Amino acid sequence: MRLNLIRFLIVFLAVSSCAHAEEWTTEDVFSRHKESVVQVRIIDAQGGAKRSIGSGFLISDDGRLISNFHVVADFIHHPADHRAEWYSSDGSSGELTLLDVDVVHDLALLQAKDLSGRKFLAVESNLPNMGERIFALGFPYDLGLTIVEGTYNGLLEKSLYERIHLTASINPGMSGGPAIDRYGNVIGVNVATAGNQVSFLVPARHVIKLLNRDDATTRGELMERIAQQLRDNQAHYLEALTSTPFVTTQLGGYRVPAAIAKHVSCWSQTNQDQERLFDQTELSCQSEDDVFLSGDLSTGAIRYVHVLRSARKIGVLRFWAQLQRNLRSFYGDFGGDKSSVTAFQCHQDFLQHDELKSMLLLCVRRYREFAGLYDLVQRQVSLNSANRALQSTLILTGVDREHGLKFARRFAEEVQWTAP
Amino acid sequence: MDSTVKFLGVLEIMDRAGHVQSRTRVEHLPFRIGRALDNDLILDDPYACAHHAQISADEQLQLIDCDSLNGSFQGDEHSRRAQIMLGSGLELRLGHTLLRFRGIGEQIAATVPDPLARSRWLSLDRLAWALTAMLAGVLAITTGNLIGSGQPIRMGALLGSAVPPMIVLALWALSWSVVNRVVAHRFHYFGHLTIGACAVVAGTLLESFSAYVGFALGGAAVGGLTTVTGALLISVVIFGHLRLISRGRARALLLPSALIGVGFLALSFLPSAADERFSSEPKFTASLKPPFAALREGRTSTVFYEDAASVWDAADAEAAEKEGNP
Repeated sequence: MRLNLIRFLIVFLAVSSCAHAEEWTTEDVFSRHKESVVQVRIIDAQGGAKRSIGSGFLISDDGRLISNFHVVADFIHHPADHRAEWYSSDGSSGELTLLDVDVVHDLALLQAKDLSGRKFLAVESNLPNMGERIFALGFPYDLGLTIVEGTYNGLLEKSLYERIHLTASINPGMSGGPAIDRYGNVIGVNVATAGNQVSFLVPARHVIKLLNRDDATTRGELMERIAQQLRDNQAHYLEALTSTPFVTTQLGGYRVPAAIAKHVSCWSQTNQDQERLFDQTELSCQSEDDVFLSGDLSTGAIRYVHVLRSARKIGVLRFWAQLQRNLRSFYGDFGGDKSSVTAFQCHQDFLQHDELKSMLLLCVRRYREFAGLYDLVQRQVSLNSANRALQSTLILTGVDREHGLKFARRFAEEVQWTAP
Repeated sequence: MDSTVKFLGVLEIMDRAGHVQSRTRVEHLPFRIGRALDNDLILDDPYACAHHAQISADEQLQLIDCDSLNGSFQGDEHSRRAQIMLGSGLELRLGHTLLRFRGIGEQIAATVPDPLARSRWLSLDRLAWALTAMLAGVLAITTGNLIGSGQPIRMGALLGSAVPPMIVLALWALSWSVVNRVVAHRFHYFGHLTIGACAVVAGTLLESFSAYVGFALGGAAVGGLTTVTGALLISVVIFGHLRLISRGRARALLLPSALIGVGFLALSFLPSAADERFSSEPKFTASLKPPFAALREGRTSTVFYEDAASVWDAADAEAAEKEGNP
């Protein structure tokens, strides 16, 4: 705890000392910070070569580094098969060990061997002004230390997880590198890009939060911390969602949940094919981002799709045969393998809620590494009309039993039949 | 010498295994036996004399040896006889030829009823039945394809889809018919075709029926029931095919038919490779039929989610199983 206090003071002092000093040029940023930014390499223990690369930056004079969780994820999940190394642009390198992570905000705190005594970066928790010049540092495509310049465009409005929108070319390999304001302080950590100069940063205040926690001493403790972070995160956002009335919209004769929160965005599409056998309108909604767990497993997202189908040039039996085919051909892009998740277990039955009779199917699988967390798929097909049917699919990833059940039930009950 | 035609008995020439090779009626006396062509019974035997023996009657019918070179014998005896009294069933040896005399008054066994002659299955062996069953099969397959089709209807393509199953059916019936021909010297192609086509119809109906039952009960699994009924259907079909082939009694065919059904049942309960493979996606196998088929009342959401607790428990159990057995 005392160590944390000291660390916090260092950060604070660094922030204070640098505030409102002279404005740095691109050359200043590069030359003054180049030895504080390193490449983070995850090495395959068998092959001895790089498995993945990212960037990181020094945050204390005793060799502590900040990088992204997703850069070191392989090292966390399979520590026996990998090792982590830092590599500096001056040619020096050394070993890295893991101290702590913030999986929800995609941050990792690492301890670098043989890297103490170097200059470290100061963190600025206040956000820059809109349009302010920002510099991002990192090692794109393993090309060597690179600096890119861009503009600050505020926090993402529609994101479940706080992200800074930066207009700059952040490329693969720069993840975990620092984003620096014009006074030379870190205001965020490079994390993702949508291409075409649309890039995202983790705000620096989450770095400060991570620094102020005790380090995890064992891998078991670290994994439990990740599980706890995921559980807290889902409890937080699902409680927020269920505590307010759902925003619903009319779809055919039904009322269905629409954009139920700011971070959920919906898209709609109607089949215009002249040859179609039935009319089909689709309303799909999803949260804008999720939490990266491993290369093929993400969590903490909410997705739902309502598809309204009305028979057009098709008899009742054929119409329902098509609905059955649509029900069965499901692909949720879940990812995960036998070692990380269980198989899905399903339950199905008829549901009668208010005026609407429907068939309801609920499938659940559990995360093996993270206790108490599940993925959930719920599908509901209305049974109140022979030639019109609403099929709603809800997907929740990384939720606990209590909140998952509560939300799934609320969601099913919000689907209403309104027209006679 | 009495030369009027009068039925006195039958002489049977037998092979070494005791099977009758030919039968000749003894209708006048004397009845001459030998290798020469003027005999009443001509023996194709180099060890028999041209005029080897003859049957005549004193008080009783008797065989008199005509001083043959190799002699005449009774049954298995080794000493030659000059004359042998003939009684019904008496066996004789002339040269190397075995003969058996059957007397006029001999009782013959009662007629054995032909099990197949009374079989209802044989009435299926008609072109009309075969065509009707094939038509029903085509109808069942095209209806299934029509209902399942997500494209606008093209009748040509729909009917075309029924052709491969019908070809398979024709070959199936042909295989049974060939076996029938080889085993029982009969050829009931239409009968086998009718049985096969009926099986296709029954199988298709069974599949739809079980899907409807499954849906009507709210998606409760009826897979087991369908498999058992399917196995029963297979047993009946195999029984039908065997009934057309076998000369045996119907009861004797029950066991092999039942065994094939049980074998099918056992195979279907073996875990398949697809079950073993891990899937990261949920499998939705529920039947979905029009609302009129949903016979059961819907649960309230409280009851539904209480019941659904089982899936969370199952996922927990699976996770615990792996942890306990790394």
